[in-house]
Amino acid sequence: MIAQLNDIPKIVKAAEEKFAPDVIRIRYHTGFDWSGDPAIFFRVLLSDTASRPENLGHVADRVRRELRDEVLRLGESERLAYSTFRSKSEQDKLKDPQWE
Amino acid sequence: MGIAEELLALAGHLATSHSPTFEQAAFRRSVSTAYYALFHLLVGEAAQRWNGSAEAQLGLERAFKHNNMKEVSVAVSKGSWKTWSAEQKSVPRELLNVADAFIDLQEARHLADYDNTKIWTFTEADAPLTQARTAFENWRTVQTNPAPHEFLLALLIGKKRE
Repeated sequence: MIAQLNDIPKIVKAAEEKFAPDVIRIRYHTGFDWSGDPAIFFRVLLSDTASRPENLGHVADRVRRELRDEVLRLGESERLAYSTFRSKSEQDKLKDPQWE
Repeated sequence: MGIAEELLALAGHLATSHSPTFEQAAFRRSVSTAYYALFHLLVGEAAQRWNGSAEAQLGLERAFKHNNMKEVSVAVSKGSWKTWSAEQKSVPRELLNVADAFIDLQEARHLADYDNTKIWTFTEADAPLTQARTAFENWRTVQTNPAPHEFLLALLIGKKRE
């Protein structure tokens, strides 16, 4: 399990590269979801263009599925992958350290 | 327009048409409402497939458990879900999308309703909303296929079969 979790940064880097420039960076932490199931929570910072309502659905669907599939591929089948999305301008305003 | 569609429209209204004074409350209600829109879409679809009285259909709808529905959706998402047929049916991409949306929206709903420390941005509220809209579209596309019928049954009685 530990070796598999150690591979998460590789997944993150690959997704950042695959979805650039829509995805600026991805941060994550592990823990448990609200139901108590083990989970990994990805925080995906998007460009302002990708975050526009007309683009967000398509971009978010692709990123979500990619991260979920890659976590499964690592053998982390017990861990659910959740992704949340924020735009660059929103983060510039909030300066939330968890998203830096 | 059914209640599920009304809830989805309301979620969109809450995310975009609010006073700045109530922004955080509006975002939270939008996310929560988007989850319940998908919940009621699936529960309503299941009830419609059962040829009982209106009262019996209401009773059937009340039998759905959120945790069972998540467990089945997780099995679909991970590719471990088994249909009741002797010959396993493949899960259409659209149904996979609906299952993923159910898992994500339920977690977002919990955060929106219970985690008062979280600050929501428009994008964080809009992403679940667009995910719910896409799930509705995907459900409409795939609903007449065999696998979604069994998916609805599984949502009611759980993922395990004897």
